[in-house]
Amino acid sequence: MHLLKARWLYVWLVPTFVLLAVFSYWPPLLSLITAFYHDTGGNGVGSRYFVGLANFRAIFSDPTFYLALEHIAILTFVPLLLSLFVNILIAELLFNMKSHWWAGLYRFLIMVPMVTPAIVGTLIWSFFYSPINGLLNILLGDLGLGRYEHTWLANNHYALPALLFMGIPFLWGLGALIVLAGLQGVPDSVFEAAALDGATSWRRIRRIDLPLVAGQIRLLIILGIIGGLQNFFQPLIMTQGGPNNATMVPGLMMYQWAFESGSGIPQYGLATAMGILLFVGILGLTLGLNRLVRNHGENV
Amino acid sequence: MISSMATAPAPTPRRHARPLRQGFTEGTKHLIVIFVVLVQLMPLGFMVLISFKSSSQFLQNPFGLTWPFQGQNYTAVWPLIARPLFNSVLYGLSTAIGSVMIASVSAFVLARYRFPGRELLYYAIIMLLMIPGIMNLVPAFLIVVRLHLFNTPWAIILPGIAGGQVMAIFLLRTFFGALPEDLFEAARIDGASMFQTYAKIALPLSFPILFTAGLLQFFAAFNDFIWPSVVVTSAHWIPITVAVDQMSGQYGGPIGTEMAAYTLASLPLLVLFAVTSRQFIRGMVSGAIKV
Repeated sequence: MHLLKARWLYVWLVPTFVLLAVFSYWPPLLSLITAFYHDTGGNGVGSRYFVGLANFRAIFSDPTFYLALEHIAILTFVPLLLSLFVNILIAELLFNMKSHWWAGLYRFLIMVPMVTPAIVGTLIWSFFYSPINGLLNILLGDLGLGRYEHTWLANNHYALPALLFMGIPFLWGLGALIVLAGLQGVPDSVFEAAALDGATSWRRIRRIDLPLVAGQIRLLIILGIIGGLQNFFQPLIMTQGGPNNATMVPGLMMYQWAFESGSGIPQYGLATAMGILLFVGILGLTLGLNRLVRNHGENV
Repeated sequence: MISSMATAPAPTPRRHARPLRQGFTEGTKHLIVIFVVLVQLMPLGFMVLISFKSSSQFLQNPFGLTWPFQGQNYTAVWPLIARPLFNSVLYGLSTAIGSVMIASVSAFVLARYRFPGRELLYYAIIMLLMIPGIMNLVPAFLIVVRLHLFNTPWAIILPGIAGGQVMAIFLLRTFFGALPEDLFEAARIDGASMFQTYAKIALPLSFPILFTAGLLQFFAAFNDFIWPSVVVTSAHWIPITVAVDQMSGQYGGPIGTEMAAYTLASLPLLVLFAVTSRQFIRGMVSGAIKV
């Protein structure tokens, strides 16, 4: 109907697409080129030569890569399972709470960690684990458990568990609120019918609530996997992947190749190859999972 | 005895049988939630507690309150973080305002006008929501270097706007699309230009959602660490997140001042959240669910 204006309409879209072209469409394309080159110096514009799939082959033949995959699987799925349980528990408790005033206050409080800079929380945990005046060792000493003191993050056996443990209590505020929003979207008549049928709270949660918020739970799983697999924030800040790669994850390998080559040459080719592998892995896993859950849902 | 028993009110018949297991009592529900919330807020609690301690107070009594409070921890650390804190507010505001402004223009056109390629363009935008950000970290850095934006505020602001507008376009297009056509038809009959329809009708109606979208953007930009730490190294332009990280590594000063710096770094967002929690929570939840 307003076809005549069409040319002007495109002009309105120019700012959006200029920015997207430079910072959203160009990067993946540049990845697809850079990943096939070996760097010999300079910021990607320096000398480099074409190596075909050599960067990908190098990653797949690197034992650290498999170690990193194992670590990222642990760091993603263990907290995800625990947080599903805690998020649903908190959502149910808030949903069934008689006092709306308190429920509102708790809703506010569980979001507070999400609005504090992640770097602050991570640095505080670094301090808890620190061998010099770290709170955890002080606490163990005070409790007479001095023999359990460790240099937590510098210890081969304890570094990875320490990174897992800092997720305690495994509550993801937004996740709990997504489930809560799902429960609030269920018509009251459903719960009234359940009450009339004499369903106990536990039965109602298992038979009615959980199936009705299955969509929200699937969303939490997918967001958790996407966020978890590409995460390297805590290892970067707290351990640098160490000691002896005990907390190395794929994202951090990518980061270190590109940005922490020290006096060596930044390996942008290897790093972008790793970025592509992570992208393919994450996308494949989420699409596959989505299909799996959807088919399963239809069959039941 | 017998008569009293006979006249005693018979137990009122229940409409439905009392469930055998009632689940938690109200008190238990509160206890569980309070316990989880306390554990979750414990690191922040220690942060504030220790930020008021001198080093010797910390060594003598790390877990309890110590007198007097060392307010000078804050004044000591303020000069070191004032500039980064200002930078973070600058990055947050410009990213939020820039992305919402650009997104509202595009979302308006994509929602209210029909033209060849409209759907294609729209999908070219929202498919970006599917791309895991990690793949872009290294190539985006190389682009920033090539464009000579490295170590300038633009290296943080421009990519922030580019990425932030995607979610905003997605939310705003749905909103603009749901507005009644009569409003726009009437304006056109009155001879309003396209810009006038956008500025006088679409924008005022969408102010709450624009505010929410900008708010989420501000929080995201303020909290960002990895990208700014890669593209900005000059002490003059680092944001607060990078500043506190550098402080923890090299500063090596008293633990109290370090914690005071963390507290000051967290404070702006906590205050903003306290004031806007309603919009923030609604925006986060609806944004996540719609995707």
